[in-house]
Amino acid sequence: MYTDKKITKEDTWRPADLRRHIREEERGGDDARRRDGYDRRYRGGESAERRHRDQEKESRREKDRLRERESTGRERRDEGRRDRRKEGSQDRRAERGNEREKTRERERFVDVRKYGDDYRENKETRRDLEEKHDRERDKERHRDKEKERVRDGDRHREEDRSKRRDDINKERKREEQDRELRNDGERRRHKESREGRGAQIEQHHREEKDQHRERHQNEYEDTRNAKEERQRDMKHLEQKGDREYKEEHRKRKEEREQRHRERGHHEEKQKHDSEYREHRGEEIRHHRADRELAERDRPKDRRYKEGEDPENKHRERRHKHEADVERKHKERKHREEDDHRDKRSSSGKSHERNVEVDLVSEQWIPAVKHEADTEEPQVDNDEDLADQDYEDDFEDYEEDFEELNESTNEDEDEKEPLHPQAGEAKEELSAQRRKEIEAIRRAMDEENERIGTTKSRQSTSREEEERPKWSRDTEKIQSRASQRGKFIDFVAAKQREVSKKVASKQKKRSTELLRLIDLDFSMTFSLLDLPPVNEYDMYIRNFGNANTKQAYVQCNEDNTDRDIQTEEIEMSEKWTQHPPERSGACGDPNLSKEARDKQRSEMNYDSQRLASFLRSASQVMVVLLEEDQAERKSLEKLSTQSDTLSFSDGSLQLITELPFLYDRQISMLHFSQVQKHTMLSVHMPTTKPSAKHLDSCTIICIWNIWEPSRPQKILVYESEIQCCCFSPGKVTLVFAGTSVGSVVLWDLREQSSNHYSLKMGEEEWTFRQPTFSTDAVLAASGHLSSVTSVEVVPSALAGELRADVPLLASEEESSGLSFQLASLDESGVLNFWVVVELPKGNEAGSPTDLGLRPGGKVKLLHSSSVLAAESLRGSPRDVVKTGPLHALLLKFLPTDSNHFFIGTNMGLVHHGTSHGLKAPPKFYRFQEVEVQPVDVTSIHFSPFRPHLFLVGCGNGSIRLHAVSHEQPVAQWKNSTAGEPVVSLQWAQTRATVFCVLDAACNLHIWDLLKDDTQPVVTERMSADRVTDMALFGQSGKQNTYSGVALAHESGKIEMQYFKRSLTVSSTAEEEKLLERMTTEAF
Amino acid sequence: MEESDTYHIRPNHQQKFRPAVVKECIREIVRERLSGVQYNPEEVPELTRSLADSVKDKVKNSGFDKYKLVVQVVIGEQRGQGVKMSSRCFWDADTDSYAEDVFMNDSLFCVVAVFGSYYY
Repeated sequence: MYTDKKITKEDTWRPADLRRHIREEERGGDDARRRDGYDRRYRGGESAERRHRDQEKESRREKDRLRERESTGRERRDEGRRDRRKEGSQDRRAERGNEREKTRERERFVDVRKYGDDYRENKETRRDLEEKHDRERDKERHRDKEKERVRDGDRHREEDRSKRRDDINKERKREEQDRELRNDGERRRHKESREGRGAQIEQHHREEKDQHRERHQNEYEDTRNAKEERQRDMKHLEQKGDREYKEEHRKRKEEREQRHRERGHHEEKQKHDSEYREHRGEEIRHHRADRELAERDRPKDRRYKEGEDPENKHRERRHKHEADVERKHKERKHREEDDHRDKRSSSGKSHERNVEVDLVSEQWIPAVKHEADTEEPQVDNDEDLADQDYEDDFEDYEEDFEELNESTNEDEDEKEPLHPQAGEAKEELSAQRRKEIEAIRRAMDEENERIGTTKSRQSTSREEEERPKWSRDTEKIQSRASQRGKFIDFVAAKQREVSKKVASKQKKRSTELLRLIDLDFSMTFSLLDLPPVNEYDMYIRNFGNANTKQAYVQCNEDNTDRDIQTEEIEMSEKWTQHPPERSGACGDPNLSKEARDKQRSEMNYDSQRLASFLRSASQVMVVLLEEDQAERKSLEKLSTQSDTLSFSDGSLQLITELPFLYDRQISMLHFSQVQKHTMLSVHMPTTKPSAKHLDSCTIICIWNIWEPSRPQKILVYESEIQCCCFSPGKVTLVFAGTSVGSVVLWDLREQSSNHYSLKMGEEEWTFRQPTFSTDAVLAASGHLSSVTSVEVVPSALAGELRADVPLLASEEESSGLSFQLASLDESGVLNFWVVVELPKGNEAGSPTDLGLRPGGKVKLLHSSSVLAAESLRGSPRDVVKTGPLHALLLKFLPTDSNHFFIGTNMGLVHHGTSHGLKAPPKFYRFQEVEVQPVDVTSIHFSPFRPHLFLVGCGNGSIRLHAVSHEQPVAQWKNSTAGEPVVSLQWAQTRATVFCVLDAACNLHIWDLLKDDTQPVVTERMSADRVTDMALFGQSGKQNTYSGVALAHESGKIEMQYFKRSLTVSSTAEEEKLLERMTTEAF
Repeated sequence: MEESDTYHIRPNHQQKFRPAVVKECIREIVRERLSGVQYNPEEVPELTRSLADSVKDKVKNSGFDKYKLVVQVVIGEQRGQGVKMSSRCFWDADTDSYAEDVFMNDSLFCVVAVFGSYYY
């Protein structure tokens, strides 16, 4: 007995550790879960913790005690064994042989499990009785409450309790015996099958078992407390009864179970069972009797307690320790029991063994129990003796061990044989398990409630119920192993079930849907395609942020990717040659076409200029050549001709023997006032029929007097031309007034190709039609009678030009011309025309200007009309007598175009002004007052003295007038011997010389400086009648080319050059003379 | 569970996943959240998640009922590397679609793809 005790003492720490570990787990798991709903449970857990702490202290105390014992030397014989045990449970096991140990453990485990099953069965039956968990739970809770109350309340009752415990232990012993018996059978049966199970599971179960044992103990205590308080509380009674009933029931169940199990295995066992059953009845009876006895003894116990209180207490405490230790090592003890049993050591030293023997024989169980009962006091006494010394020490710890009162209940257990303890352990285990299971169930219920479906709760509870019943044998281990996490499995199972339903539903749905839907792989969507940055950009990125600065220049912004960014170099081939050969000094083999065209156009332009230059130059050259020739000829002629004119220094004859000029009388000669070498001759229509159709036409020939061989231009007009004049300035236009009352003009610049050409003999002649004619166009504003005179209204410009006009005036200079033309007809209507040059001619003819020749560029615009006849008629007294007045001549004052002078048939010169100005003398008349009906045949202003003019009259009288005076400065009446004056002109080179041609072909040359009464020279040209004459010569130059052009009746034109005497003058003298004459006259 | 065999296997027009609308959602959020943001490896995971969440919320509110949405947000740093992202789906092309938008600044690029899968 002591040995056992010592053995148990040795390894105190290890189970404690385990238990601590387990408790922690429990607290972490079950307790925590319980805590949610049940505060009491939590407190219970706390108490358990305290208990655990106390146990450690106990173990310390135990060691002390042990030391004490060693000193007393009472248990020397066991020391060796104890020492051996000290080495540790593992070592000890090793000593005994691992194999055997394992099997034993397994056996033990089986026992435990079986017990658990039994318990569960109990639970079941209890449930059957109570039918509801809740009530049980309440009861348990209540029990806990009680427990606490008891704990807090009286420690004194513990002694009573310990006494009662003896009884209980006895009962337990009996139970244990039964169980052992059963276990043996079962063990035998299961040994082979369970050999292979893992040690770990066993360990685990061992732990569980420990836990259970502890709890069981507590519960037992509770029940005992309840028993004690039966008198006070009816509930306690009930509980106790309940408990008793439970135990009985359990026992019965166990029997039944055992029977059932072992029936097939051993007949012997069956026999035993039957015996056992018989015995059982006794036992129960006995058990009850015991209890009653205990209750009856209670007062006595109390008394006892009071008497031996300190000692009792001490003992109690000590026993408590021992019980604890023992509890911890129950398994070991049990094992030892098994050992003993196996060995069948018949030493019989201890009661234990005896009991075992009895157990085997079974019939002896009651006896053994009795023995145990009787033995108890002895043991107790022994212990008391041993531990008396330590009373005081442990008193200090009383408070600490308050809660360990429960464990003190087991004091008696130690004194008893170990069998009852083992039984107690098992009961503890069962209680513990029940508690745990209950906790689990509660947790599950909570879980289920949370899930909310009654069905599932039913299923889980059912499962829980069913499992112990039907799968006891096969699933025992598994259910044990997963007991703590079982509810999770249920929930998971439920979830699985639910999810399975859902899955099936979804599967059905998906199968139905998949028939309707086509699933396919989409295209591969490119979510992002970010190309790697090229080196340059990377460089820029890195260096752009660095401390460097980049600058770049880009010529062509749109050509950033080009390597070469400069402009393309243009290349071309050129060559030069010096000295130049053939085509030139330089060249370009591959000129671009454009450039060539450009060059060509430039060349064209140049060629035009060249052509014009050449034209002009050739004219000059021709003129020079002809002059040269004519001079030689004239010299020859002069030298050869004996009958040269007295005034003449020589003569030149224009070649007028042209087929179209044949037999035409020249009616008029006229020199241009600007281009003194240009002369026109008007050839009257011939009366003789000829082959040419030009007979009825008047032909005007434009001559250059230096080029006498042929006329420059030939102008043609259908009717008779009365008068002619040149345009001012350069000779580009020729105006003519016709007998039919029209004014025509020719533009000499027109291309000859535009006009009718006629080939006569070897030469081709171009006959120019008038560019513009007022013939039918301006009927209303035109002249109704024949035009007697056309004059260009002089302008200031014209006067200036006269002084210095270049030979080759540019066309531009003359092109922009704009001047007025005046025409006078016989009836005295004076018309003013504006000569307009169009910028561009229209080859198709102008639709509006019907008088304009197609391609013509110059036209006349009628500007105003003055009826000069009225002013003439309004003239003094004698107008009426003299009949119709005819205006015969028109002249403008060269210095002032507003003053015009009209020669009439009354011998008067009418002075008119164009803008209504009043000029003092209205008429210039003869010196004689009376008006004579004589025509004014010629009026000519002096080129040197513009205010002086000569008037020649039909009666042969010549008057020299000053503009300012009505009376003539001088008048010569009979210088022509009564012959009418045909023409009269001042000399261009000398201011005092003028020529007069009379109708008798006498040419009178006057030189007023020499003689102011009669002509200096009078020449009679009887051989060929002179029809007209015109003086020519450069007024500004004192050259020899001043002379007179004589138009003969035969159509010849003869140029007579004046002698030096007539051309070279002393200007001062002449001026003086003229001055004197004018002053003398007035 | 017995149910009638009528399924809405096609969304009506208003509820159909319209990539243009979703793209606009994405664009709006991404522009708002990422403009001027520099890549920071510590912040980007959180940024990515929050972006995905906000895009998801916004698209959810756009009225695509019965659509399961998957929002994928990828933010990467721009270091001159090449990046290629593509996706492939096994789906019902009649109902399901996706929208994606790319945002880039000097420091980072962000690809947001929203896949809408019709929930029959």
